[in-house]
Amino acid sequence: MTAATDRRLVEAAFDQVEDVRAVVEAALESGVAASQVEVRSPAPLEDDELPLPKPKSRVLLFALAGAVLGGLTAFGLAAGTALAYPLPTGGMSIVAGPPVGVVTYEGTALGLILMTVLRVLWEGGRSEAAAAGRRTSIITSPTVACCSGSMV
Amino acid sequence: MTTESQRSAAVLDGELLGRLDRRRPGLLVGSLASGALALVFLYCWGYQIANGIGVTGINRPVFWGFYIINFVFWIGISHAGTLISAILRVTKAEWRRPVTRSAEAITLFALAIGGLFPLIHLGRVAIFYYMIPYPNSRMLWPNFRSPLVWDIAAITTYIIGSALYLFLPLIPDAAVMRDRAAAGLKKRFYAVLALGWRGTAQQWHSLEWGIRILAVAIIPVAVSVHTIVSWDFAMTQTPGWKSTIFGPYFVVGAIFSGIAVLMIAMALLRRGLGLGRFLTDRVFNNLGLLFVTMSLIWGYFTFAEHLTVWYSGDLFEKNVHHVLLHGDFAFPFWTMVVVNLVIPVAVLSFPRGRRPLPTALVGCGVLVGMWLERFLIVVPSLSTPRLAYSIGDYMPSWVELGIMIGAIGVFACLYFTFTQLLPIVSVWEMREGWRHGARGEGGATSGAAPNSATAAAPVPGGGAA
Repeated sequence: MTAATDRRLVEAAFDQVEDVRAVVEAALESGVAASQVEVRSPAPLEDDELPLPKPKSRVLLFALAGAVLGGLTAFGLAAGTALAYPLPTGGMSIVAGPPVGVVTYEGTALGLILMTVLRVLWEGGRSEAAAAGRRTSIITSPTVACCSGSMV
Repeated sequence: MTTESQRSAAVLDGELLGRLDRRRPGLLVGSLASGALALVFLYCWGYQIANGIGVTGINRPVFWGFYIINFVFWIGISHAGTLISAILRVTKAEWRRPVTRSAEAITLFALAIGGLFPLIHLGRVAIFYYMIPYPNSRMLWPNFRSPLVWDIAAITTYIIGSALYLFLPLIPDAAVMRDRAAAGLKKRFYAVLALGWRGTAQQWHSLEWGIRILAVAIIPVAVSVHTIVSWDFAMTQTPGWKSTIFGPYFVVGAIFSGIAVLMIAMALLRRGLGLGRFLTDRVFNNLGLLFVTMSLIWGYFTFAEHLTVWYSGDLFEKNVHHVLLHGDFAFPFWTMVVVNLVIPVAVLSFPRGRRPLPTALVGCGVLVGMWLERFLIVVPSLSTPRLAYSIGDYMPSWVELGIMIGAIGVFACLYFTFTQLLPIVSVWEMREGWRHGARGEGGATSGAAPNSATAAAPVPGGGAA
């Protein structure tokens, strides 16, 4: 185990998740709030591996919103442009279902994909952390878990 | 976690990340050779832009030649990755872990090249912007009723989706590379890619949600792309094209050719980069089974397509059918049947045939066969139209051949570059799979327990190396 302390932060690196669990449990028992504990790892940990609240995510919600937004935009583009400059269709409908459907389908998928990625980046705090990209680091030693928190 | 597993992780890091620090002569030679071919591509395209589309063999009645054949071919290859990777992720197949990134990179690069061919086919490439949805000076918008505009929508969605689907799982590995790199350009490059990744629980949680959603979303997009490409043909009245099963037929062919490229790439990576411990015989065996299944499905679709045409007795359809089976195109047609159906089934039905070398060789044959399939869809139908006086033939020019061969170089060049810059096997996913195995969640390991750091340690999705 290695540790570094300053006035406000204790950061430690462990080889085994069991050790991280023990330290986190001890920290919580000593009165440190769960929100002050941050665990970093080189691979995702299972929810039951640490006594910390499960992170929350609204990626799915935003993905669905993106799908709706993308679908509406694509529908507006395909149907609206057909109406804006009606081409001779020989009696067929100006806004035809199949073409509008295909474009709407692709727009829905595109909206969903873009919004999913944007939300993932947002939730990860990338925009803030990217500025400090060269300063931040994760622990790359094998089988690692890293526990750090704003502990006095 | 056990000490053995810690050693496994050390080996994992060393083998997958350490290789990026070393120069490999084979890769360098490959990069130079593919770079030279890429120059051929640029030269031929530049020559065509300077001299006009007349330098090609495209002429009445065969207006779609090598460029459209290659467009369909490369879009098909692009189904290797994202679709296969997404299906394996959604089904939580543990053996996918060493395969996904390689497959996703194939998708992105093949798609980029495939998307270029319609632009090359335009001749006057600058007028491409007519297809972009904004009104021109006469307030005319692109005609969304045309399947060609659907192509733009579908391919744009797919290429953006594939790029992001490759990029998201790459972030944690880029962060590891950033932390390993010495200060300088390399570190800055990885820092930009890593976007400040620190590996917190929130970041992992969001990332896993994102990957899960993209995996589910990208499957129908991939299917739609090749279905829409098939509609470029099937929505016409041209004999040989007007078919209700062209959509699924194209999708099946695309997945089939995609797996072929994946098998070849993995065999090369395994040998060239010494990734035998990750790209194990088990991976090849499983992909080989998928490969032979797709071969049989492709055979079924081909049979169904030709049987219904033959049985209909339609004069114009039968003309095309005749030149395919018995006429000028009989040799490529039967070659296609042999390399796409007979050889894969004969070789891959047996466990010994599902090893790296045989699968790669079968993959090469299938690539030739699938290219011939696209050729046989485009040229015979156009050269045998309904009006007998306009029957004609098609012979590609050196410009078209140069662009076709050069495109392979561009693809290889991009792939080699990617392989040298980033881990071609996802390190964090291997770690995760290995952790699942260590926690007894099944399916992750089956190799022998390691005796030393260099021993054959358990590998997610592995098996006997």
